[in-house]
Amino acid sequence: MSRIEMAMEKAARLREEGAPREAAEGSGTTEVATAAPPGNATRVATAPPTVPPERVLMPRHPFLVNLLDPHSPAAEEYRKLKSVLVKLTDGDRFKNAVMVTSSVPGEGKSLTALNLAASLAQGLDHTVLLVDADLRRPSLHKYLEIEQGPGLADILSGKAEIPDTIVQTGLGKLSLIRSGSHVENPVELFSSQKMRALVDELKNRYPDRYIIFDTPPLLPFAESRALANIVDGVLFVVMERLASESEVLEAYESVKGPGLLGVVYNAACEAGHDERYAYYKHYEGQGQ
Amino acid sequence: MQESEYKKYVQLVTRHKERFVLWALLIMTLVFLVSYLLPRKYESSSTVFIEKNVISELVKGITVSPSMDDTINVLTYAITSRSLLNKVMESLDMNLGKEGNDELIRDLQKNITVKVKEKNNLFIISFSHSDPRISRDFVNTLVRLYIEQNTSSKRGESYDATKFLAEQIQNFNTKLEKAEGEVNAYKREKGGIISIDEGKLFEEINIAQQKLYDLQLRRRQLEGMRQVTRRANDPLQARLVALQKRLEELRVQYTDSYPEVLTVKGDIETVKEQLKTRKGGEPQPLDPQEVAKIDAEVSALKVAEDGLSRHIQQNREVLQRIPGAKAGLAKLEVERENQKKLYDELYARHGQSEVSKQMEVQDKATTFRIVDPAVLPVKPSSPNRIVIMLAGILGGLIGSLGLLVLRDQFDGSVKELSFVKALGVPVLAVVPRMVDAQQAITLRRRTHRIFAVAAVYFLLLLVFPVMELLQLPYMDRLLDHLTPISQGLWGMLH
Repeated sequence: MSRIEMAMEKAARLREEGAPREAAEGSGTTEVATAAPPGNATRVATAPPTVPPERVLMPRHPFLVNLLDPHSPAAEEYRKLKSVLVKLTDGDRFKNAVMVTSSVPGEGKSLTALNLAASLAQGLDHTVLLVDADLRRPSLHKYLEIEQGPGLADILSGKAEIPDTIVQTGLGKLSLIRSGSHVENPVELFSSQKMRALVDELKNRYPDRYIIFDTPPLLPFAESRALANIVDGVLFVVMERLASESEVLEAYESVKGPGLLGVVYNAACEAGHDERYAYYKHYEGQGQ
Repeated sequence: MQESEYKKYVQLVTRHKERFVLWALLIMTLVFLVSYLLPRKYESSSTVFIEKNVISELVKGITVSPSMDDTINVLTYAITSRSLLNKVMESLDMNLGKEGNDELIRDLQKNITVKVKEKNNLFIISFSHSDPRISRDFVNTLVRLYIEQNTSSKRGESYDATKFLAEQIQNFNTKLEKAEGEVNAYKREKGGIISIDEGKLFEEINIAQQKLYDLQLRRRQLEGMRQVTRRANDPLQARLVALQKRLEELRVQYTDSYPEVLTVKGDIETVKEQLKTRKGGEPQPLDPQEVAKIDAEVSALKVAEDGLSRHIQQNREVLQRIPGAKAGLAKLEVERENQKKLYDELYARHGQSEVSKQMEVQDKATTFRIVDPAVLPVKPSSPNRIVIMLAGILGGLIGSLGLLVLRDQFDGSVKELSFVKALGVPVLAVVPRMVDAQQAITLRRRTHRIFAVAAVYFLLLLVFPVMELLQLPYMDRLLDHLTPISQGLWGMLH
């Protein structure tokens, strides 16, 4: 099964590389966004469908380094993060539900989640489901340049089924659940039993699948704290020169515990890194 | 540590280079503005030379002129003295319509500087004021009045000194005369004693004493001779003496009961009896002539003795009185000498002071000469705009850096990975700051634009110090034009 999948993916990638860029840009993104009609419930229970080449997403955001610039130092860091995460979650029980959060808005949660997911999906072993759990200010669809559509909020409020909301991105084995329609009570939704059931279902459907939640920041909102009790692990993003030390401390106190996998230090500009970057540049040059 | 600090600052500036440049320019602009708004002050100065006349060198030692060193030492105080400043203010009508003289004087004192070059006997008096005209007039008036005051006071001093000396001479003359009179009276009174030589008198006494002893000896000899003469002429007496002599001899050898002793004793008794019985009878008469001669001689000697001892007594008394008399005279003479010395000295000084007085009166002693009178200052002496502006440029850079450091200090955000590490959570990845190429270009363009504008602005700012350096008065003129307007606005506001 997985071998067939791999072969299909490989073929898809070959096609993708060969396909003219205009075609992908012209129709692909919008088409995929509106794809997955609500009726096809039966098909989702099986493996993620192969995405036709013209429907592969072509995001252009420059910070999606693992998709666009895989030799950059940042992409290397995300790959490192991936391998650490795989090591951390690989135990007796596969702890595959991971959430990414931070203390204040704008610390790079969504990009970290996206890049991590892309990095995982580019590997051979894992499929990845990225969930935009930031119902207040969803951003994943913007980074991936697809339209907003039925998503997490709709599942939780009972307006849609899980299979209807999953979007195949065509970027490796990465699929996405968008945030969905706007709701007034995200905290209630997140602390509901339905949420727990949803997470359990997503976790248990495919054993090799990572579910990565992009969440709102910890300090202004309560959703992330509710979600932190449900998921297997928490990645805490800290951006340099954004949140104050006291804010970081406060947020850290709220997620501290066995669930906290570790910190992703974002936007570092420490002088000590210069030499390492030079090394990366060297590799990059060779790669190109 | 040192290097890391330095690196830290460099990084800080690099990260906020636009902010750094803008703040620095803002500070510079403010300082430049202040340098133009500070009140302008004009300084005038006058140089005065303290001239020593040739005559004063010639008559050195003869005259006593008021000390110039002292004058120079107190010059600063004398020139800023209240009385002198009051006079200057009055003659310049500076205090018209102004209350509180004290404040005005204090203000003036603050603005006066006196520099003394003692080596050359030069002193420079400067005064600064917002009005160049007042500044010049003030210095000139001050110097003129000071010199006038100084000259007249020196003259007065000389006059006073001469007058005082003359009075004192009169006084001491009287005293001297009195002392001399006393000495003369004393001499008159005790002249005899004073003129006697003590040594001679003492010798005289000794000689007289010797003579007295001689006389006494002679008299006693004569008296003894008379006795002997009388006894040798009586046979019974002679026999008695012989018997007694015999008895003495016998007693040496024999006891009293020896028959011969008894015999001699009996003889002695017999002779004594005979002498008794003969009592009524005339003894054998002596030679009366000889006795009378001896007697006369003895009495003459006695008279001479008495005279001599009286003389000795008298001389002794005189000898005792001599030292007292001499001491009294010496005392009086010392007193007279002292008076005389003082009088002589005063007299000599009086002569000197007379010459000094004549020199002062004829202006032949040291004089003040104004070498360089104050002229109307063209350029304000303060504020020193070039220095202020250069300091402003430097201060802008430093101040801007300071503000950056301060801002960084107050920024409590997470700045280093070490903070996160200190939490005790594993750091899974350190993602470097990513830069969007497009955005980076935009940012760089913006930075370049800001830098270009800043550079132009800085060059514009540099025009001002250059103008000051070339002493172009455009800004001053502009400020002069603006002053009435701003004052009007100020007045309207109040």
